[in-house]
Amino acid sequence: MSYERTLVRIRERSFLDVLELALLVVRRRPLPLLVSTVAGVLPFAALNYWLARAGHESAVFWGSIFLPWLEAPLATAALTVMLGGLMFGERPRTWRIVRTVTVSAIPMAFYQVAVRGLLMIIPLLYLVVPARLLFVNEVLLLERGGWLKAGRRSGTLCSGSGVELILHWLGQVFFGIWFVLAFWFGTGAVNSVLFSSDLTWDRPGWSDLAGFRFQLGLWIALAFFTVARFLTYIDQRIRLEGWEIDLRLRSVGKAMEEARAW
Amino acid sequence: MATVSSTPSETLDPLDTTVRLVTPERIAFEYPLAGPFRRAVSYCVDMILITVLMLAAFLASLALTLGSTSGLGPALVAFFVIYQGYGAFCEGVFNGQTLGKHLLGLRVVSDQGVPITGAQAVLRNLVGAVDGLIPFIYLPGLSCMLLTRKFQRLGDLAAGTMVVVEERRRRVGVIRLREPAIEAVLPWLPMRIAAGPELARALSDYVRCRRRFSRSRLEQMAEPLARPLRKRFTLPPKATSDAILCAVYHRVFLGD
Repeated sequence: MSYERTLVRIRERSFLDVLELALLVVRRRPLPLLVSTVAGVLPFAALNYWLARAGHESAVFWGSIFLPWLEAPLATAALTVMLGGLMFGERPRTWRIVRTVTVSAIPMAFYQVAVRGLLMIIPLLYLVVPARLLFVNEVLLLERGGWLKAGRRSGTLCSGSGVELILHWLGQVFFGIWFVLAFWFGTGAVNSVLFSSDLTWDRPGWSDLAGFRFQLGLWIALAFFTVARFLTYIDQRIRLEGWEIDLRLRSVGKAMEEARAW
Repeated sequence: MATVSSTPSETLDPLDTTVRLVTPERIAFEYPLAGPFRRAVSYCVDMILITVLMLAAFLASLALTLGSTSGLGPALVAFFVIYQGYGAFCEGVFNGQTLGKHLLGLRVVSDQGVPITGAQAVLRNLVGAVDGLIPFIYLPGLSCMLLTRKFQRLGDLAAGTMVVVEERRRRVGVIRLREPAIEAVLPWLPMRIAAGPELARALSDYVRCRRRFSRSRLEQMAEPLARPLRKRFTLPPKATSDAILCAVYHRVFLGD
């Protein structure tokens, strides 16, 4: 891995800067990111749709919001592998993505479904996820860490910034909810004005949460925050491993050796 | 008039949340841009202030009409004036800043990088109404920011403005390093070394952050710069790369 030719400029960033950088990444590489997202999300979205059709209205509410939340790390695994490749100037081939996701599927399921699902039941304990287990996916998929090593390595990456990462996570939840509601109501309004010639729209009910627009908005937000989490992981490594200073020292050293700057 | 630089190689450059403007004199400035997330936080702060102002206007209106329902009319007029005028007034008078932007360190500037005029402030806020809550719940503004290079919403495009982040560099004092390995290198160096800005910044950043890294990582990081320094000052080969950089830092920033 060389961090001299990377997709994003190597420097330490604030939380809001990371989120805005994620937008630029999405804009620079829309197609590979879209394809890997759709390939990962589609099976889970279809499963949720099938479950929602069979369920009661209250089940629709919980299922439409919490199932995608629980499934998101698995559904966005392909996206994470794609980002890992793009970050260092390569575009991973399909078979490599499939193989990496398959090899890591069982440890991912253990951490992201069993452990995370258990922690989700007790909201206070769920804060362990952003404080210790935030980068488990990146470690399993990109660093090819084993079962135990992945948890420990993720903990190391989060160490010293646990509180900060919890606040970042809360910020992402805030922005995520804002975006999903804006997308849901906004596209509803556009739909009413452009296609129904209707300047008012119905008040949404719980069953609308399983509808296409809400689910699309939710999955867009989850995929976007996967990109943001990947960039946060890179930012943590820049801080902990000193990539920015390393690059600066190399650049000044090279300039001095070439006797251009002194 | 400044132009946005757009060379063919730019698409391959690493991504960053900055925009590069080049003046006719070919002087390039790099502005850190504020995207939707920073602006959303400053928007929330402004909305809180607008709500407080509206509440105050409502109470004042009620007090002036002795609590009668006729106070509702002036209150509604005040609501409109505050909601539509707050952004334009603040940005026009306070050089591109509202309270929220000031707290977040943001500023509206023209897309040439110069301060905005009053007309631009009014225009970006008037057109900006389309970007807002009504009628399409922030979607036009968000989509527009995603599609434009300078994170411009419709109001910004209409007025030819952008929002930048004002860099507030933390002042870091000079660090005194008293370690035997560093002091052993000092006699080999001249009493004062005049370094260019790049070298000074690299040394300063290295010394400021070196406590975070292990000894082996420090050696690995310091080696590329220590190598030419070792040659230039004919330093002893047993001096570590870390000690060389720290000693040069001492001479650059503290002299003798």
